[in-house]
Amino acid sequence: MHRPSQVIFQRTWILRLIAAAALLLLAACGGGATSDPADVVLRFMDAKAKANADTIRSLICSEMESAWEQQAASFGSVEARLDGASCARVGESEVVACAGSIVAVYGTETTSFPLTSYRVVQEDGEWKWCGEAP
Amino acid sequence: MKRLCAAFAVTLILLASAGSALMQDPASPSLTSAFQDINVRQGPGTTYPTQARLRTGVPVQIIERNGVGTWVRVQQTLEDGTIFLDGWVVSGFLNLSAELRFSQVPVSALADALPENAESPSLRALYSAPIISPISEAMRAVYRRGLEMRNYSHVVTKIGDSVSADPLYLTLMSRPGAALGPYDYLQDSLDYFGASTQVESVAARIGLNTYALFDPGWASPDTCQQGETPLECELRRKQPSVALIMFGGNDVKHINEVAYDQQMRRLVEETLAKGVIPVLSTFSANPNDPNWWKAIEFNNKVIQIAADYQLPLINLWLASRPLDGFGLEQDGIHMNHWGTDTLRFDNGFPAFSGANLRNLLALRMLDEIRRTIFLDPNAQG
Repeated sequence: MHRPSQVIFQRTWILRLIAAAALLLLAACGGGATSDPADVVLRFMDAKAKANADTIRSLICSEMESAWEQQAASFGSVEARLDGASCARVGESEVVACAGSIVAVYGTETTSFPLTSYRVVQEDGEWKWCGEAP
Repeated sequence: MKRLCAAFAVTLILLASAGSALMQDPASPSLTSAFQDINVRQGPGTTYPTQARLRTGVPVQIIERNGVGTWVRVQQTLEDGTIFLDGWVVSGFLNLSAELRFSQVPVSALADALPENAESPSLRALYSAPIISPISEAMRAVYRRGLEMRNYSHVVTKIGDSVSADPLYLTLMSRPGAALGPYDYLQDSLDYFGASTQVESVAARIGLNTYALFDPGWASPDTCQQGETPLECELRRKQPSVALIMFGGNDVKHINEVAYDQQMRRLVEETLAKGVIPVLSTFSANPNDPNWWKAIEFNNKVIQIAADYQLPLINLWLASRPLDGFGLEQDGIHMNHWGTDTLRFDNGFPAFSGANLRNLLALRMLDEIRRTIFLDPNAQG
């Protein structure tokens, strides 16, 4: 005969196990941070503004791999950040449209670079940034 | 020691003779004097030994100039015809007659520097390149190809970072009120190219570097097509015959010389492919800057690339050596300004401002290209 408190304790543990299993399953099915193409593009553009070479290399598609250095150094001479940036996948296409801009400061000069539409491709289950959309 | 003694002796003579009778023609436009005490050197450059000091107001006669006109050889002659001062001074420090015309002044064959007097091999290479290089045969072929591609021979553009984006660089050539002063020989080329400099370049932007030049994200969305790089966009919309190119001030802080070399070569090759003559330029640097030696290496890359592709080269680094602060602002990147918003080469303005000197060298190079290629009937194909 279990006491009511013991029953509640066991149920809580079972629920926790189920939740953990569900999370693991989601991650295995591509539910990680890079699974959302819009999020990939946002992260890529943020890394580009900050000249973060490691992130750029991890998010760039193999077709554009030779250009990772250029993407990483492009804003290397300025202090840059994303401003009002948001991105959304266009239907089920391989295009992500973004609004907002990269704001770059050089000395006393501030320049705004509007974000545009970008191509994304799936490689090994992960979405990758693959240049500007034609 | 002997050299020092000789210089001291000549200086004493000059000081003593400041008020003595001199045989100078007061009506001659080549008669001049310095508006501040200046060094007199054995040749037209700062690596030539100093042989005397010319005091303010002492009259001297201009008898020769360097290829640009930034240095002149002056003589001081006594009444008995004895020449006791004969050397080179920066023309920007002289009170020049309004009637002086450099087209009438013979051009010296002396080199712009004595590289063997430089303190290191890296500097020697930089001192060896002339301020304005000759134009190679290879550029005639590029020009011909450009005409076939419907480029405009009278259109010039600029490609570079904020030092080139400066509205007072090149763009001044399109403004009325230019005062060329003694640089009269540049008037025809100013008339020829001037108007084309009015339209701003989308490939000369603040913060641009040799990587950003190939990034469509840096192209102006109002002017450029989707996916076009700033370089592609600029060459398509203007179809110039000549592109004045200078990078380095930004790049030297962020990338190494191998990457700089690679990006500059890519820039040169894409420009040549469009039938445009790329004119490379070294950039000024200050020995007190922490990036001084890296800037020297970058500039040596520029000289090497120009040699490899037989490109026209402006050695701004060399030309700016005599200027106060090497023609640079306090930030060590941007060329300083004298404050004028028109093109002024009269009364020594190029000596006061790096920006003005750079405009003068750009116009001088355009003149060299126009005379050597554009006006040569054989170059038309």
